[in-house]
Amino acid sequence: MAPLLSVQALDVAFQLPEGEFLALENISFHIYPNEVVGIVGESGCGKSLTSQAIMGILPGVASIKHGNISFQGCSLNDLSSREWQELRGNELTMIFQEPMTSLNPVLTIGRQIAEVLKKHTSLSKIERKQQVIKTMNEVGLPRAEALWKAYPHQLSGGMRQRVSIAMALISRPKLMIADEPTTALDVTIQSQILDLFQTIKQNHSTSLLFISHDLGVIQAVCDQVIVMYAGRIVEQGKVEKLISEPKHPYTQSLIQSIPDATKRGQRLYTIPGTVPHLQERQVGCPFSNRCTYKLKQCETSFPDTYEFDDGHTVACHLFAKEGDGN
Amino acid sequence: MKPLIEVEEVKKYYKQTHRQLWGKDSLIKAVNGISFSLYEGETFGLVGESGSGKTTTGQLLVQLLKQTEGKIRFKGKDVSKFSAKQLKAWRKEVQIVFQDPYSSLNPKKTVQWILHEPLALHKLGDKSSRYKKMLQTLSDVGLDKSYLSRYPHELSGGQRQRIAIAAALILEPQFIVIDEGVSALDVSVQAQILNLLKDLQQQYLLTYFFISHDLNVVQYFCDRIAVMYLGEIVELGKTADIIKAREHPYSEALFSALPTIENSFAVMQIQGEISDASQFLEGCAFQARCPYVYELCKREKPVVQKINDGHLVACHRIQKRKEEERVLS
Amino acid sequence: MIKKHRLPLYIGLTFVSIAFIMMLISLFYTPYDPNAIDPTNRLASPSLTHLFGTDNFGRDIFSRVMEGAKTAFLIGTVAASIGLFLGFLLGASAGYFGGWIDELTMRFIDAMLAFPGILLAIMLIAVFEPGMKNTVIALGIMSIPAFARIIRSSFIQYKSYDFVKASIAKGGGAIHIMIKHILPNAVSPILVAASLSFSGSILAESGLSYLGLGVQPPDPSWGRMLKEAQPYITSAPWYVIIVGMVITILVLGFNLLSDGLRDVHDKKA
Repeated sequence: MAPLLSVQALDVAFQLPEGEFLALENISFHIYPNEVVGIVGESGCGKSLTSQAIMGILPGVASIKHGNISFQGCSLNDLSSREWQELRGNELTMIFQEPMTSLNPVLTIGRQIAEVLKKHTSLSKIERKQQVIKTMNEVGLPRAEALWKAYPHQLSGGMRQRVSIAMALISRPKLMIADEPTTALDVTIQSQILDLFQTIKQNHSTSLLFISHDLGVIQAVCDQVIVMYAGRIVEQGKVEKLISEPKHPYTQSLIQSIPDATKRGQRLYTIPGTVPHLQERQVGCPFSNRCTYKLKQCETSFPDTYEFDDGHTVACHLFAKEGDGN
Repeated sequence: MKPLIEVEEVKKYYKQTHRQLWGKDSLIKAVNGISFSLYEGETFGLVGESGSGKTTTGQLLVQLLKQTEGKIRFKGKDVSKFSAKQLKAWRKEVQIVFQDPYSSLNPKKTVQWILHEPLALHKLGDKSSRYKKMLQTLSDVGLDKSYLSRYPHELSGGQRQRIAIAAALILEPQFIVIDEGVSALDVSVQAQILNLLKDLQQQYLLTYFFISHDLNVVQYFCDRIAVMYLGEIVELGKTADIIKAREHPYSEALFSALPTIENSFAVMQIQGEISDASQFLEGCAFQARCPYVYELCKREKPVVQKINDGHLVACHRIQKRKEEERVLS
Repeated sequence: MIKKHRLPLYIGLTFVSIAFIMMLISLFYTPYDPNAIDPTNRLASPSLTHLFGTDNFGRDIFSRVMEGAKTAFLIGTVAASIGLFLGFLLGASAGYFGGWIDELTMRFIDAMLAFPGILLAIMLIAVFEPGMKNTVIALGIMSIPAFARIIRSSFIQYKSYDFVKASIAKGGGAIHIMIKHILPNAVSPILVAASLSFSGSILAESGLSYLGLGVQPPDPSWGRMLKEAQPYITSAPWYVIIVGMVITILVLGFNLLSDGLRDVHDKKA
């Protein structure tokens, strides 16, 4: 099966007053039709930047230096702005963290959702309205007729996020990107929204790229998960496998440092040191200065990616064939 | 054991002026009659969703807000009866740490100024002893004196939170309210701060009032947990008891909604969202979302009942269940 | 590399510093005695001997413009200081305490705003007497509302910040918080307001002096020079043009400066 989206050896650089810095380095992954892929990592690891690169909405100071992103077989690198407009909001849609700022406060809910159809389809006004109401019901917005005329500020946070999901879903996209869609929500609401993503996954042939800092949330919705650290992919694999048997030292320590009821009374595992700043990243593995298993070569070269069964891959010198290092 | 802080039927109401021209002012019951006691050296967790009144409760405890009704006693003394002078002296004993270290440190001040401020306000020590105290507090939170000349924007989120904790600690308080103190931090940094708070607690016998929406953290960190919904505490108990068996349907929903890496599927999901604290109904605050709602819940507010030693629940269902069991037997 | 958004700031700074340097030099040196009359050389056009020409009494306009800069800066500074001081007292207490103090202060400010500023100044001067001191006081009072409103909104914004709450929890009183915590954060908007008030005062002084209500002879004033130049607008147009340009450059300089300051502040925020 051909992948829906493939990102190959992507480098994204930031143009800063001090010079040019690579914020993403050698990012490669695939998303297959009807698959849910999660990206997890701490702030500054480049997970949001990756999604922005795919959507073609990189901030002004950032640009793609190397590599290729292709969607349904065509490269997105040299799309004209007109072609981007055709694609975005239609086959490729996005859901943001804060629904209050991603919705237009002066337009009614109905108009905002219908806007997408107006732009990308030739449906009549009545057909559009029917379609919007159908989608609103699908995402769990009851009384769609009444909500049609409501403004974003009249809705609660959870309802607003449902509206943004409806907007992203109505064009029947091939790929939806959700950037921390439940982070701003309360737990009980988060659980409702995660459930909604499960339902969408079952009822639609949509792939989903789900970005979160919370491994628990990732586990609830994703099939595959990608772990990022300081602009690099350090590990990827099937979600259950990766969480139950993490291979990369960073993934291991990340999982160990999550507090929960089972760790009561124990000290939490902490990773010594801090994430290197963009300007401070050096050659070699960015995690090497915090890693307890550090080898000599970790400081001088970034490790190759080693593959295990089931497509589980790790970028760490520890997994090099014996005799390679030391 | 005598409690350090006793909270007795505390209420905090706000008047909300109506937006519309002819509308009436409404009353927001942010905190609606809560009671509990805090004991020396314990970590008391308060969980709830946004709008449940947990932040208001925290600010009432350190008297950043004055309660509308009810009493807060610190070592038996009613804090609302304090004179201005007594209040200022008492402020040395209780401190608060906020969620967002970006806004809780003044961006125009150096770390030295921030740490010096509390000492100067209470006229403690002379120049050299203050300097010594600042260095010692910095080392307590795991930083060294090179940080003194830095501004908040030169620090990372975790370092900022350490400075905020140092500034709270420097007055040698007995009690600290931690309002979402680790929620804005990344997991690995969060673990460092939680360990730091544990160490400081042991070193200085601190009592923590730990407010959080993150149940993973609360279950890990707290000795007792209170669950708050719409301005009321619906369940309170030892963490071990709460983890084992939750009696209030809201606590049950809250805990099972939590996606953890052990269990990612909700056992019980509730519909709807927390309602507006200004539209207050008769009866139980949770009735609109409760899957078990009885007729009684819509008429009468449930009273707090003791399940076992120290486990309190405010729910009609407990009574109803007992009745059912009696009928069955 | 000059950043594009800093351009107004730099142009404004240049204009203001040219005027400021002229003013400083005039304290020690002017090419001619600004009040020396030379009847043989009336209304001479600009030349190398008289850079800006001479006026109807044969006085050197360049020297008189330099002298006038002194008045302009003095009035601008003192009026802005009066406005800033009183505006701070009103705005800071209204913003920080809120409630009825806020209501009362803001209604007072509204009343001041409802009254055209220049009319207020004319009325004050009419009741007392024209002259430098009363002009400055009138212009200072005129600029209170602008300061009070800007300072009030900064105080409302910052009083809800957690660092303010943290300071209260550490025992900080209202004065401590207002001066030590909020004021340092409100400096940028206050600077913007001050430079606007500066240019407003200079303009208003010129207007008042033109009407004969402002600065009285022998104190030099650009506004009065403009009035003196008026009858010769056809026979000696450079006189009126030069004085008008000087006023425009300084006022424009301060406006650009305040725009620039605001942009820099916004970029930082």
